[in-house]
Amino acid sequence: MLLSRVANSLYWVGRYLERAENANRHVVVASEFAVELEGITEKIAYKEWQSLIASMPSAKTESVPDVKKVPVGSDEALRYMVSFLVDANNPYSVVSSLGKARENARAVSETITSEITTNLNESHRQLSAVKPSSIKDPGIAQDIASKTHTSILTTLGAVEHTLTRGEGWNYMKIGEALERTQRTLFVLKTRLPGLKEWEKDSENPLYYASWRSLLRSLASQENYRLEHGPKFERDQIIRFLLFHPATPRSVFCGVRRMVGYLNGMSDSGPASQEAKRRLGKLAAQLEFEQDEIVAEDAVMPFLDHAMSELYQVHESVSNPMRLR
Amino acid sequence: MKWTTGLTGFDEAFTPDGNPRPHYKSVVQALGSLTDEQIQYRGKLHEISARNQGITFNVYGSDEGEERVFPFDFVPRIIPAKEWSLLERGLIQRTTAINLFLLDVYGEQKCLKDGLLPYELVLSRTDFRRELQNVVPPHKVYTHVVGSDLIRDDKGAYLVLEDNCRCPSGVSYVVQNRTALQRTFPELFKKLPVRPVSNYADLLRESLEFIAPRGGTHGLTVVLTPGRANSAYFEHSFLAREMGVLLVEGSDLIVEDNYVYVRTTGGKKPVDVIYRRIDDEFLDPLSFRKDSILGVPGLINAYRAGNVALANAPGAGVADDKAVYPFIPDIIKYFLDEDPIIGQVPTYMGFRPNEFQHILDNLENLVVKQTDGAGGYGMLMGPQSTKAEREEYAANMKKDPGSYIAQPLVQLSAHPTYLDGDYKARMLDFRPFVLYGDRIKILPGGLTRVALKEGSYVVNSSQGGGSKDTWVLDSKKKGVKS
Repeated sequence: MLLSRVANSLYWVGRYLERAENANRHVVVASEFAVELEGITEKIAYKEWQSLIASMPSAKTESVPDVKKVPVGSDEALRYMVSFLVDANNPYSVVSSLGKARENARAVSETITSEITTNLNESHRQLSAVKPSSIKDPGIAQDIASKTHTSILTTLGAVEHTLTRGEGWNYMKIGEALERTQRTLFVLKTRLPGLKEWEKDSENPLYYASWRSLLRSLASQENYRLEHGPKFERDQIIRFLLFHPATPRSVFCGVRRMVGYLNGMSDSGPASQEAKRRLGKLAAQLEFEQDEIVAEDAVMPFLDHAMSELYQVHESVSNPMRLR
Repeated sequence: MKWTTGLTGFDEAFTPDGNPRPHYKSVVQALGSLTDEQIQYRGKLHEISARNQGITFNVYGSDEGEERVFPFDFVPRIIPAKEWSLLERGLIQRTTAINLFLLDVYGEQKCLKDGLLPYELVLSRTDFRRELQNVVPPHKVYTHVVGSDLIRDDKGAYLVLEDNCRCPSGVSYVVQNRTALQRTFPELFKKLPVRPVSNYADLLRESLEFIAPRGGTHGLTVVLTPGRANSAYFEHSFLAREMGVLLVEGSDLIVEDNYVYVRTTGGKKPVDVIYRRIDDEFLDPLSFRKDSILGVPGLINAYRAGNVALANAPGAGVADDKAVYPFIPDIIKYFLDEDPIIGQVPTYMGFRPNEFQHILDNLENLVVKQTDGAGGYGMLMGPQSTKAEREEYAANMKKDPGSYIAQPLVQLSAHPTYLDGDYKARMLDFRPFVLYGDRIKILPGGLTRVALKEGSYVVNSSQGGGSKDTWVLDSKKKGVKS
């Protein structure tokens, strides 16, 4: 038996841990992409930082963090890095997400293992102890990002290795899967329009660097290469990130995982049934309507549709009032 | 922090009056604004990152352990667009001519009949594979990956020091050095339009798939490695991962009815292209060294039958033999009717009795190399040698004069290198990577190796050399003048 409140907290632990890991990776990738291109085109390098904000779930114009206030001097890239790593005032920063994961975990500490609690506390403690103004140079920011990433992965490893595969596990993992799948959709939605201008010139280094950055920000570059080799082709990449059944960041893989976790929950009320229905339909589309989805002008509407469906799933699973 | 300029040779970064060259100004300025403490901190980060990522090389016979991090110096070498354009044209010319030479030597041997090179010189090379006479590789390409080593003379003119047409290594450091520098010193990139090198794997796989038999629809492309004990194992696994292909050892492959297969959990899968990082003689115990356990029995028969493509083609090594090197300008003229765009170092050949005597008489002024030597081993640096060393070396030379060549000591160009808190001038060379598929492409960058010891000319990683990131500037952006 699992309390609705506890289920809700575990769901958010899964989401925020995943969000922290995603943001951390995205900061590193955006920084490397911007450095690679800023000597050639500052405009595109700057856009990469803006896409970091745009690809955050639930990012709204009014809540965009003001990176100009980050007290680290005039280096624009460093300000973005610091803001998204250690600025507690930035709701999308790694430290904010870790903090929220920790708060949720503390509320249900009796239901998770001490390994998870210890690692999560340690990750948050280390990162929150860093003062933004103390990061005077990009090398320090890179070092912090690298250590934080290891630390988050350790916490995720503790979840994987020590948590009972009970109902709580299903709530935590569905939160993780939903966050990850939304992330893939957001990144595709924000990046695809900008990539269109390079498609005519696949020998242009910007074409290559842009697709590489997109795949790396979704931890999918190496998996994509195993499947398709090093050549980046728009259609292949979109199909890979939407339909691949086994790569952990594809939308199809995420949706199927969510269906599995939902099936493992004891809740069989209308909200749960509604979530299953939506996910089942989405999975069927991703499996059987692939050509229609990737047809000219159909990708963006599909991304909107999938995001809307996942938002409804989130509403069904996360709202404690609906949890019986 | 002091900047020391090159004392005798050409200085890459500074003019003779001590001012930074135009394309170095922003980097010198940016580095000047960093404190020693900041630099050391970043150096430490790079070392940890390199170890964690396994960016190491193995030193044979080293007492210090098997794996070493290739020392990396963060002061980038910068090549302006105009200089690069000249290098590109010169390398395309050289690679084209070398390939035509190989086709001829393993075919009609017209150039030998015409007296361009002596028959006995070419046919006596250990890397001449008579087993492959009249075997034409797919699309007539022998040299899919070439890494020619370049130096600059005291006027700054580029010279080819040697060609590497077998399995040139070092490209993984080119890509990794760039990543490392972007992570640790991002501010250096702000002012200059540096051309990316990260798409090397894409270019390589494209070149490899071009040579696949049956249009590449039949089987897989794989990287063949001698295994983890090889000094370049990191590079083999890096390239396989970046290209998204299998990294295989000889025992993973089998040949049946002249077709090559790889053993997988799903059964045997056909193989079309092998990017082999194993020397010719170990490739196939049925054709070459019988005691080779690294190779694949029957591989050369499958290659002869046209059922598998090998890159580089076996036998290509004869073109980079040090005894053939002096003839490359003539080879360019003979096959292309053009003068060489990039020059090379004058060379005396032990093969010719009068030149052998000249070498013996002038040992203290010459650099003497064994024609089949590599990695800086088996050579005599005349001007830096003792009388006893010269006498011992001369005694060995007399046993087999044809196996030696000699060159005057060319003062290598110097480049600021961060050592003990200062930027000191150290000598360096440069290995660009040339890919030959449907056409010749050159990665805009390359491996710059630097001799870290003062006055040293030896840049090899196994003998105390380090490496640098090499920037090729884009001509169309930001108007950087060369």
